[in-house]
Amino acid sequence: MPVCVSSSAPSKVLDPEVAVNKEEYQVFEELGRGRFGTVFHCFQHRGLRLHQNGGLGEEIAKLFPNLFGQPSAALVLSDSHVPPVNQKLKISVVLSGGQAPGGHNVISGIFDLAEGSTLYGFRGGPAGIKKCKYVELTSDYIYPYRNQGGFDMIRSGRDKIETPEQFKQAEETVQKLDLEGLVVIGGDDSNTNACLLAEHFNFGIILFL
Amino acid sequence: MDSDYGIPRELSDLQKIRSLYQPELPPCLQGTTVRVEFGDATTTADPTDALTISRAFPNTYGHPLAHFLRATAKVPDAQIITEFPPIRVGIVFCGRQSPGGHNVIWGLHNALKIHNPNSVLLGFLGGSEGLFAQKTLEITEDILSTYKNQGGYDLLGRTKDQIRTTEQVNAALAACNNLKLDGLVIIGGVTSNTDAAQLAETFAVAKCPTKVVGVPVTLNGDLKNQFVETNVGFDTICKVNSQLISNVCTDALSAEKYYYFIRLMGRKASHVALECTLQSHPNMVILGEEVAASKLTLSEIAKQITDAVQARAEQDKYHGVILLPEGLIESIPEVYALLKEIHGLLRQGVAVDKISSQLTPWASALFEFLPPFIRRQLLLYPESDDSAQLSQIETEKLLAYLVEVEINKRLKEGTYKGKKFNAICHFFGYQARGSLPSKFDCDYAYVLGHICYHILAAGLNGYMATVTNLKNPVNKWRCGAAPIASMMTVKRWSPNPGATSIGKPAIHPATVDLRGKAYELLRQKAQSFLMDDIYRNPGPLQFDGPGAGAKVITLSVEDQDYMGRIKKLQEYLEQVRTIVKPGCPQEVLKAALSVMASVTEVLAAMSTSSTNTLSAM
Repeated sequence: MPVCVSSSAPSKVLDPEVAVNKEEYQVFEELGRGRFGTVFHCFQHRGLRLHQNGGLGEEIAKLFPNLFGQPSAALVLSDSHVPPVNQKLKISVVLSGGQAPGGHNVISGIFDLAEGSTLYGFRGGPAGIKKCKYVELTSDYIYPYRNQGGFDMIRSGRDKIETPEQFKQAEETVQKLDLEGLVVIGGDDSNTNACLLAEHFNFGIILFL
Repeated sequence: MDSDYGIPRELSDLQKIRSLYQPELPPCLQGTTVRVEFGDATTTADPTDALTISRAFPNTYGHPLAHFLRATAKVPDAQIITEFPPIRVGIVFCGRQSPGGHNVIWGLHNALKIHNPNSVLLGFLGGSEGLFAQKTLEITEDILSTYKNQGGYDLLGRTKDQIRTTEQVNAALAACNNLKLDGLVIIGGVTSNTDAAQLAETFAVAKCPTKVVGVPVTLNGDLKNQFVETNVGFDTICKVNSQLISNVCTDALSAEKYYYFIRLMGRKASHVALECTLQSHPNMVILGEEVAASKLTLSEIAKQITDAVQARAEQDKYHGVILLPEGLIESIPEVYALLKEIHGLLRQGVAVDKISSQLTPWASALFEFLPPFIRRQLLLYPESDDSAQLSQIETEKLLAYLVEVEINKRLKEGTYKGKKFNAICHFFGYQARGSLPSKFDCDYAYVLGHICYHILAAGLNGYMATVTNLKNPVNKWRCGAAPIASMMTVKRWSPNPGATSIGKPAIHPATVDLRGKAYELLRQKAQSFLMDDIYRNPGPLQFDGPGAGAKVITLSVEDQDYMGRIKKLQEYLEQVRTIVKPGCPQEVLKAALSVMASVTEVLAAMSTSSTNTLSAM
């Protein structure tokens, strides 16, 4: 799902492959106002399929019918001067797996971009999603963790969300907070779990980092 | 093998930049004139030691302090030296490598060449063994170029750290005579400088023209006394260790389930552990000096740590960082006594596997109580300074094991209800020891190298290069020299109850002063460190920018400028002598007598009190 900062077809595309099909893009949904303009969520008409590895592709397609085949996304530079449009989202972040230097700055980056939106942090990793343990992230809360090591801003954890009961718990949390997006920060295991969540909820935006 | 010393090296970009850094010299060392003012004859910290030391060092004890003066200093009786014949100086790395050691050589070489380009600096290859074997490398600017401001001792290397036996001393004497050395500079810590003092005395007796000079370089920070504020290497070791420790603290806080036991290199005393605690704010530190003062047993230390773990568990915290000095194991009286027995048996030639059966019953009981890995480590042959091989004894694992045992015991009793105790152990020693030296250590070592030249130019034997007022910028440093014998003390010990022995004079490692300001600072913060997780990351060693000028806390917090104060006192006494001369008014004379009588009475009482306090400790 490409993201661009323009209300019209992107005039400059970073990914040359995507550029070839630029006429196929159209504005789908405005995400919010950031420092560098309005952020839009674009959608491509035709999905990308894995032909070369058909067998594996088929297997994955069965497991992820809602997610499979989506296009890759590229951030593009806008030349237009469209005035920013206020978009207030409710987003949450979760740190998953072992700590890595720089994790805190992912959260700082989201916070800085999501100006005007509400940003939550689930405490203690995926366990925080299940138990609805969260903290609202403010400028003051984030300040001591900018450019600092560790994962102690909102803590981390290694829990998985995979059983029907666990998905139900997560669903209740998402509904309670009325989330439009969830950012999962972690490694291979964490991102696999994020994919499962995305397939299950089929809501808003799921970003994997 | 000798061909590996002093070879040019391929440096990284950072190393190249560091090799180009030129340390500043204080005003008193600048220019090409040596100005020296001699103070009073020196005495010892403990007056009762004076007689013993003066008997052992008749030719080098009691000599005056030397202060080196800037060009603008107005001191009427200063000795001004303007002629500098070419001299030949030998230099030797004794003691373990310490960041900054290379800069002493650079500073000395620089001073030699400035004052007379025909002077020669010879480095002894492989430390004291190179001295005995007369294996030298002439130091040149080319050779120095890739060693300036770099860590390690690989320019010359080091081997055994001892110049002590008659055979060794005679070999050193022969080397200095054969090589026609005017000076011999010994770089090292307490043991090496003690050897330097003995060598100076021997040379004086033998009428050898070589003057011996000591330089206080040791990462342990334990060559500390009224004349020496800190040692080259200590600043670097504490900063590098503190960054490693604080990284572990951040990891502990993020993972929330491990206790890290970190043992720090620093020999017998706990200076490194104390300084790193003040810089990085771990949860707990066990100082060897506290253990010795309170005569704690192993079980009591383990209980102390377990109580801390339990207190944190009651706040739902199952992580923490605990620092341990490597000398801790020898500070525990029962283990110390056990080690003494083991070392005694080892020196008698008893085989390692036979030792446990020859221990006294109580020592045997303690030995059997200890886990097998510790037993093997306690059986290692002692170091050349007669202490246990502290770097090889995994005290951190022993304590982690004992804490785990204690917690499991409390779980069964029901007094501990928290989660499982998980310990991870580290030894931080060699990682920091090999670091590039900090800006402070580069400056300090380079200045000390220059002072060595000043000492030799002034014809002094058995002196140590000193700098005081170190917590201030370089241009305010006071440079001088003090007789090494004045830094010595005499330890008295009794191998058996009732028997009296008098020990040999030596510079003994300074212990952490439990009445000092640095320790007081730790006591004030200890509870907060323990419970509040106020971990502090000072970042990596910085050579430029805001962090470059940071001084170690134990230096900054203390109120030290002993040499400056001695000079100030001499100035006051001189003023009194000038004002109160025969023929002055009666009132002036009466006032002077009254004041001097009071001062003398107070000082005498203080001196006696100080002696009693020292005896009590």
